[in-house]
Amino acid sequence: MPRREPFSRNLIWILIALWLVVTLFPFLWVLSLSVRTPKEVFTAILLPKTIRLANYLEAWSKFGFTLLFRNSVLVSLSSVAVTVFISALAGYGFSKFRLKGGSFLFHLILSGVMIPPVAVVIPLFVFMKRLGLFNSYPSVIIPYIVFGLPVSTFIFKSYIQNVSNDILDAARIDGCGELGIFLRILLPIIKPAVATVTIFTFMTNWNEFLLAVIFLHDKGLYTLPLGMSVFVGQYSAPWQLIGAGVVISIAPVLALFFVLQNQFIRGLTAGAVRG
Amino acid sequence: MRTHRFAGYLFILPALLFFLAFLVYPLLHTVYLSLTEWAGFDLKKITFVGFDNFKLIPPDWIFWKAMRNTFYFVVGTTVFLNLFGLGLALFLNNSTRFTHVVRTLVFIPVLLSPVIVGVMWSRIFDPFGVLNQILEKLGLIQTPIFWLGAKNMALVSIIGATVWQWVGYDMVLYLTGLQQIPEELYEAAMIDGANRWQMFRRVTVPLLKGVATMVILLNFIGGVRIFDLVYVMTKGGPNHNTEVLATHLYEVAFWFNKMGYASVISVIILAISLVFAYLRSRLMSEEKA
Repeated sequence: MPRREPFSRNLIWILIALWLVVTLFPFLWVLSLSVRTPKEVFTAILLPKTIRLANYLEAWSKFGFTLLFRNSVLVSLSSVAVTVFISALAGYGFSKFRLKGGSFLFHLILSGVMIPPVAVVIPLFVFMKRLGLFNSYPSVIIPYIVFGLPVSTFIFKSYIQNVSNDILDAARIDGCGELGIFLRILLPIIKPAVATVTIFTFMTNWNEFLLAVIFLHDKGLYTLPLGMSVFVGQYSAPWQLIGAGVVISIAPVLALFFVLQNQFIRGLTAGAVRG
Repeated sequence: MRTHRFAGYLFILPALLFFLAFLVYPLLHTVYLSLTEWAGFDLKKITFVGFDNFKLIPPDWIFWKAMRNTFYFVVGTTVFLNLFGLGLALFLNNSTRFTHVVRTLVFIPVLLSPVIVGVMWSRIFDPFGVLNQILEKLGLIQTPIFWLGAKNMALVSIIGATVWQWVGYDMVLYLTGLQQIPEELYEAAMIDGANRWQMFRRVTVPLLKGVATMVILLNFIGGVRIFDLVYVMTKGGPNHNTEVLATHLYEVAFWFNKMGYASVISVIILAISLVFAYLRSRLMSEEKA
């Protein structure tokens, strides 16, 4: 294979090694911070003399991680479930039915990717207040569903377009209803698209902060990012506990990522390739 | 193509309703609210004031500072993200076990919530944080640098943390672009006696232009929205030197309850986003043609 890059090999390895250090150092440092005794917080650079795992227990109860995880799981899973279901339905409608105005409606939904959530927070705030949903799970779940729709609908439409009509027709001849075809025939075929959309929307919602900080005021409703930001700022928490808190918050995501690397990379960059 | 048209409409209906009710309607409502005045908590007292709110923009020095900072942030992050993202993609564009591992590691920060990234990097940038510790050990500085507390360092530090987080994202997009360049072009260039620099200049660069423009626009669009990292790391400080459009909007709306004026800022953010989005769709249709 001909070499493509216009640089010398040694220079390349040095630069890559340098960037790896830059990428990984913050993680290693936080990991080290998370097991330090209060005495060593500001003295050690990477290797503390004594390791104090009790920091994790303390951080867990101080930040209230049980509740934060429960809220984040609840909010993310429910919004993802709805987004996946209704955007898959829409993807099927847009790709396998000849609809008058279908192309217009599809591009209308797709144009939603251009709208930054920050541009609509104020009317959403008014809306949620009027509906009496302000400061409740639905006040973030609903926007999460909507902001996930454009990319998800696009992914499903593109994927379902390539599903052969013969399979669907065969089911139709066998007397299967349209919804039955969708649920029993199509859904199993489009599993890879479901995976991509699930990862993309789940990670977006799991990490979301702006809407959470505006709509969720009760501590009992805080999601993981909101809780971390509030607690770290409010109580000027000791650094070793912040370190442990960071490790606790990113550990589940990292674990999932290492199991499903390729799906994650495909899912997270899915937002870029819509056209 | 099916002809069961009615069923087709039923399939797109739920998505369409959600979309119209919770995105299109609020969007139009923003524009309306920007022409009104009301204090955030009494929704019944919304009064129409025409363009009065827009007149508040010119004398609002914080807004202009936020505008300038957002601009610096967008340009700064886009330049370095593309430089490093493309660089890494070029270096790692072969499928050995080693490059695969490196790519995976570089991608990890993309998974994190910007809030967590902000929490981590605020400690790293703290005057007593590890960055100053290292620089002192190396003898590069004598007194600690106030990364997030100094007027001219704070925005640079936030740009640094953003680049750290998103480089893996740009890298993956560039890798996808590189992998679409047919191998034969490099082989032909080699037969013609091209050296590596010429191959890069004459084959890689022209064929990567489309991807590069897309990545740059995506970075722009993302940059205009920046909120989380600034909110967590500096809250816009010191003295508004890291204030960006979204944090200014947040303060005006939810600290000072000036919802009408905040809607004006929404409309401006929306307008900027739409310009980039328009450029992007133009680009996409050119690509297809």
